[in-house]
Amino acid sequence: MLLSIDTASERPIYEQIADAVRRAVARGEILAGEKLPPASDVATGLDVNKHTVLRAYQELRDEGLVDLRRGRGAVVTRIATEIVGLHRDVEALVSRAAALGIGRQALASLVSSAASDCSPEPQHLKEPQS
Amino acid sequence: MNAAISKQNRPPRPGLTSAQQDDLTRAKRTGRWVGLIAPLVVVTAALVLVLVWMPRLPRPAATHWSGSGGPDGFGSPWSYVWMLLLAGHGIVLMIWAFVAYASRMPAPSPKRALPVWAGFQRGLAAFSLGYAAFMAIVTLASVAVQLDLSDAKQAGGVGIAMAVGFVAWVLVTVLGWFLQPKIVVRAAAEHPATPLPLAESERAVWFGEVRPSKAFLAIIGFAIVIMLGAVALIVFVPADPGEETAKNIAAIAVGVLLLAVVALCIMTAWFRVRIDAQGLEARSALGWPVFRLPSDDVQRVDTAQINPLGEFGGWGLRWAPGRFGIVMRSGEGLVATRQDGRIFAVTVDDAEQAAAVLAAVAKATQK
Repeated sequence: MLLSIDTASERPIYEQIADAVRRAVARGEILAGEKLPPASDVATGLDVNKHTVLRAYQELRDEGLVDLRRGRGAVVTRIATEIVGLHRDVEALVSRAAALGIGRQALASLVSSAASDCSPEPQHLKEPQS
Repeated sequence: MNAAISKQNRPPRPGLTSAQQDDLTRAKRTGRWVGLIAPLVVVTAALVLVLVWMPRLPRPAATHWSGSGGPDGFGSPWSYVWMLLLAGHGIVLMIWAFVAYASRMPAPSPKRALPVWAGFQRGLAAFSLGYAAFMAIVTLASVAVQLDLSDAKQAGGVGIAMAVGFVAWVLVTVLGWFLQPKIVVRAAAEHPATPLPLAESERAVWFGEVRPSKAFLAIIGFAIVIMLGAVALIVFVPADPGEETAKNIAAIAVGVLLLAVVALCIMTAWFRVRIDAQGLEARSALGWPVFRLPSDDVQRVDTAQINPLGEFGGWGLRWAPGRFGIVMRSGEGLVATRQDGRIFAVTVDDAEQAAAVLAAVAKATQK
């Protein structure tokens, strides 16, 4: 799996690492039940502090994408499978928008407004839809 | 003259320029002399001499020696003939099959990044000649010590001949190596990786694994079951009185061997691979051993279809002249060429992305 960050970006590094993991999950580079690389390895590889990586992993745990267990590392949960499906839907949506001649910005704002109609900023993926 | 003829007759193999085809033809021609014809001549000469000596051998003849003393195994003198045919001619032909066809097995593929001719083939050809010398010396010495004896039990030892044979093996291999020209032929149809586009401020890391193939696991599993069976047999079959100690020692020995095999397999079969700005690091699942390829030592990166048996002579950690590989299955992998031309190969899934990252960091260090 490929993880990348941009040190010039405004976005905090730990958020970028979490984003990179989400992208890897969406692309199917890491599947449900597989382990994320140890935080120390990611820290060495990206030349960042180990705690920054752990913070990213904790964020992923809070949203239910990984299970953090002492001694077992960060294991990707079954939500990953759903995300891969969602990613496919998004790709289909993007290509459909492209076929209709709808620009990136326009599509993004469509998605964003649909999302805000649906629920007020969902923080946790695993929260039941009650 | 010969080269001119072959130039006209043979169209270059796909992916090779005609100059490369000429190099390959030249390398193969000397390779054939050193690794096929000369070894066959040597073992055939030994065979003829054994046949000539046949009437002068005792029946039964001595066929086995242990340690430095006299013979302890006896059989038909013809066993020397069969042995030369099987372990002499047979092995020489098998090695040559590797040399000549390794680069095409299992099928010629345009996605092979490893050279079709390099130190690997040259070394194997030389090894074959050395092996033939060893076989000839040891067989002839074993036959010679019992010529004209009425009883093979009177034959002397062959320890010195064995030592001479091993020394000859090494020396003749070295000789065979230098008898051949240094030629490296790489197919042009390689797949150089497109470096991942990375801005100066961006950092990337790639994680992957080297995993054994199912076939490899099945073979190891089979070996472990056999050894467990051996342990069970030793433990549960009652020993004769007075042989308890021997039985315990045997059980412990087989158990230790079993543990060593399992540990060795895990140590060499599973590797975690990380590619970052420093380069490539492959670390065994047990934490040791670790192999590193610094990014500033990377000249080029290709993705390729790797064939462990044909291109590395087997699975696992493989060293061969000019190439090192952690190759645990056939299929896609990353093939990096160092600054001095040596090759470092790993079989990983998603090799294209791995190669793109390694190519990007290598490019960054060369700025």
